[in-house]
Amino acid sequence: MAPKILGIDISDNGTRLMYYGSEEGFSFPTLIGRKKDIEEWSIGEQAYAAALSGNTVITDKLYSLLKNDVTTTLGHTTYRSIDIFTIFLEYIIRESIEKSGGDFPEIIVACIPKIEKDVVEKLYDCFTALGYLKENTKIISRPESFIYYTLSQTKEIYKNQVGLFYLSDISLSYYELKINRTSSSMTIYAEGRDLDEAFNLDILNTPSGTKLADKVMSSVAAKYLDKKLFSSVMLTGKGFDKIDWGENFIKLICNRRKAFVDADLFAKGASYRGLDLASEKNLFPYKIICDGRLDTNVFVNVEGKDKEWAYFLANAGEAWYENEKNLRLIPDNKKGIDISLISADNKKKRNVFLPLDFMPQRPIKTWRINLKTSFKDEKTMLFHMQDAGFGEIYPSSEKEEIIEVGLWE
Amino acid sequence: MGISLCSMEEGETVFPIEELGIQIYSMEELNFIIYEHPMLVMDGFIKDSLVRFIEQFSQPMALHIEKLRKDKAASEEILLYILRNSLLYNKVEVARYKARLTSIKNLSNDEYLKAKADYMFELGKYGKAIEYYNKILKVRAEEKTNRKFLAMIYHNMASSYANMFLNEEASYFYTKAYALSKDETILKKIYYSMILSGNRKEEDMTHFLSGIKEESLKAWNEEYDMATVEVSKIQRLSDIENALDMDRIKRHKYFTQILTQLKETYRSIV
Repeated sequence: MAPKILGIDISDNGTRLMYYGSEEGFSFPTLIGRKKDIEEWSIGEQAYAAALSGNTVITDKLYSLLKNDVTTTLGHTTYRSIDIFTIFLEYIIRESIEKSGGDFPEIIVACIPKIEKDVVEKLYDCFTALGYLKENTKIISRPESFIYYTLSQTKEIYKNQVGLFYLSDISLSYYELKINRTSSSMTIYAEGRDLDEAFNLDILNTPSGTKLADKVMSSVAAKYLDKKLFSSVMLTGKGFDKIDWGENFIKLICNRRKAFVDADLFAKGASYRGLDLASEKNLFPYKIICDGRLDTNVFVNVEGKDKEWAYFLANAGEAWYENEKNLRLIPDNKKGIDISLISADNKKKRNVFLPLDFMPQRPIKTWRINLKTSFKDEKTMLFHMQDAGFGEIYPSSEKEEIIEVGLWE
Repeated sequence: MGISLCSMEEGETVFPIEELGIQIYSMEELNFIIYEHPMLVMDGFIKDSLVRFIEQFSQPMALHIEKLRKDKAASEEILLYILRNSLLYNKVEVARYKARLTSIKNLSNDEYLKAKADYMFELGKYGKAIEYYNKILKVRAEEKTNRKFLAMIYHNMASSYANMFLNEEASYFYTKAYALSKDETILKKIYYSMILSGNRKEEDMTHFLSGIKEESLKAWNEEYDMATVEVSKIQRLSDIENALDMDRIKRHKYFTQILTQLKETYRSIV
């Protein structure tokens, strides 16, 4: 039986859940309520109602609290942000199950506005605390979710570039997807940016406000869509729950393009990613470059039996925050390690030399180095080198060095 | 040669190399030993325990070595096979190694035994070195030809004994070396070994000194005195002197430790 797959879109503007294959999703404000005197929790409308009655304290912007590791005191108890967020996830998943029926999900993919390594680790910890296996959970960025959503549509949708506007309270973002096709492969690029033109959605309650909003969005659309070829434009976020306010904006985006609204776009995209995770086959055999995914190949040339080959420390398209390699090597000849970098589009190349000055004096053939690589962020790679010793012939000196390399500095 | 990738895992079965006083845990270490110590690995190195060691890293390699052994292949062929399949040495380096093996194979029996003995000496395995020198002497001691070669053997045996603090034996063999070579530098060594020997006969010393020039003797004594002063500055000596001031229990513990270390060191050189 196919596993139940859940996609979750998380941000301070709201959290949306979508089960793969369902027609409708679930929406919750990203807040939680706790009764003042006892440890009883509530979410969504129930939390608002309880707060109004005066016996509950609400904590909102839970995602920012998680990011910033803020502790909160509710009642007489101090909670870590990770604990509160875990409770929030537990409650929203449970409520979605109660409303939709069926079992708890086996596979969960959560998408967040921007990938930060420590936030990703905290979210994994939250899901693990709820009993979900780490290999069955995934954290992705919104651009990545956008890619999976788009690739799950018909091909004409992404024949050319695809644009996406996300409009929520005091939050406006634009995402763009393009595809580089060769005879043998397809690379999908997506990036997003927050726009300064964000506005308070309350203005949509007045005629003058809607006119202003329409004008702002038309200007934004013209700025980002003009002079480029788009097959489709997508709209998501609370601001597009109703689009009768944006007559000119809609005309603009529909001009020779397909346009559609999907409030659950990011949660759905996450669920499609979940489908890929659950599948034995790779359902999306493409290289994906976006926030959270590397745009650079990093390798070291190794030799053996008179052959030379590239040993990849990181591949373009891999999730950088999950990349960690451990290898042991002997540098020989040079007192250092040459690292090669090539961008995914092959346009940029660079060599970085990691000196091994920390190694003690002994024959270079006995310079066995433990090399551990990881990423501090998507642009910074860490090389942790340690003298592995050479058995009892040359015991390890325990010396080590960590070098940070900005990929394209 | 560029960067070589190694396995992160070490073998469960270790391979001891008694002559070097170590155990090895990986194929890189094995390859390094083979390449750097041809005199060590040419005889008796390819054995069942080595094949079992290799098997944990590469079954095909172990099987091929067993086949070569069954076909009575020479040890050099097996050693070269191991190196050719290593990631540590390239074609040029293996060819260089092959040339070294060939030059060793081309030595006469005596030259080979001497090379082996000298190698043991360099490793500090003086007892083993003396064994090999004795093998040569069993055959060649009575021969009158190649006095220079015999003199070298006696001299190196004497040095081996000297390094084991067996100065009476050292003196005896230095004397035999001098008798064949008339190399005056050996006279100084005879003199020192006689001084350091606790069992020398005074008439032997008198007889020896009667043939030595006064200025040579003066220079040797000055050199000896300087060496004595240098030795007295060694940290271990001052540690030992300080230990004499410790309380009885600590002193006993310290000297037991020192003696154990010295015994272990001595056993490793015999």
